[in-house]
Amino acid sequence: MIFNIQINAAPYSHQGADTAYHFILAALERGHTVERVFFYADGVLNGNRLSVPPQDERNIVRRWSILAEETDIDLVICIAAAQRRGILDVAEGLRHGKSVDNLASGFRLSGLGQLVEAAIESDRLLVFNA
Amino acid sequence: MTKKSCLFIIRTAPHGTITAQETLDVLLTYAAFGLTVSLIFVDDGVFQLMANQQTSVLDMKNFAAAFRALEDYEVESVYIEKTSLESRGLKKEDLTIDIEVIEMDQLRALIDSNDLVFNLR
Repeated sequence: MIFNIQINAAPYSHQGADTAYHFILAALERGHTVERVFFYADGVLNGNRLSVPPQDERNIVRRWSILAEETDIDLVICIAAAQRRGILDVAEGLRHGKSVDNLASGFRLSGLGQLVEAAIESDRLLVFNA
Repeated sequence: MTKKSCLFIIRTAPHGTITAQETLDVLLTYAAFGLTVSLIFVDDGVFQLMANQQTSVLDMKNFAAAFRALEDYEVESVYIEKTSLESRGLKKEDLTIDIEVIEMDQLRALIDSNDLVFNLR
C-alpha cells in the first residue's frame, strides 16, 4: 500500500512528529511504500536545522534528514506555512533579504499542490496533528 | 485514479489560532486541483462566520470575508452544525454567509462518504 503522510505538529511540543516517524519505519518494514511526507502548519518546524535539543534526547530534525538520506522519501515543507514561522532555504533567505537560511538537509520547500498530489497518489493519506 | 473527495472540518473560533486560515488555504488548493471539497463548521468553529466582526482592534484581518469567497471558487458544499450553532446562542441570521444547517448524524454521514477528512488542530 502507498501511505503518504501529513504532519501538522511541531517537534517536541507534541507527539505527532514522533508517531509519524515510527509509523513510517513500521510501514516500510512491512513492505509498504511511503512516497512523501508533507509538513504543514507548525509541522514545518520539523525542518529547522537550528534546532539543538539536549544531547541525551532524540534529535527529531536530524532523524528526518537521515531518513531522507537512507530512503527516497520526499520531505516537503509548505512554503507559505514555513515563511510565517521562519523556515527558509538559501533561495528564500536571499529573496527576503535575510542573512541566514535554516532548512535542514533532506527537506525541500514547495507549495500545497504537493500535498494534493500526495493525497491523490496514495492509498491512504495519514494526518498527524498536534 | 478516481476523483477523490475531501471534507474539511473547522472547529476553532477565529483569531485565537491560525487553524481556519490554514484549513481554507488547503481547501482552495484541493478545489483548484479539481477534487470534490466540502466544508463544515462545528463546535467553536461556528464563530468564524459571525457577521460584523471588528478585527482591527486585534490587529488582525477580518478573516470571515474569506469565507464569502468560497462561492467564487464554486465551493458549494458548505455546512454548519446545528447543535454547535444553537448552544452558542447563534442563529443563521447572525452569520456572514447563507449556509446550510445540518445535524450531527448528517455530519457523521459526510465523514463516512468522503475519501479524505481534513481536521487541522
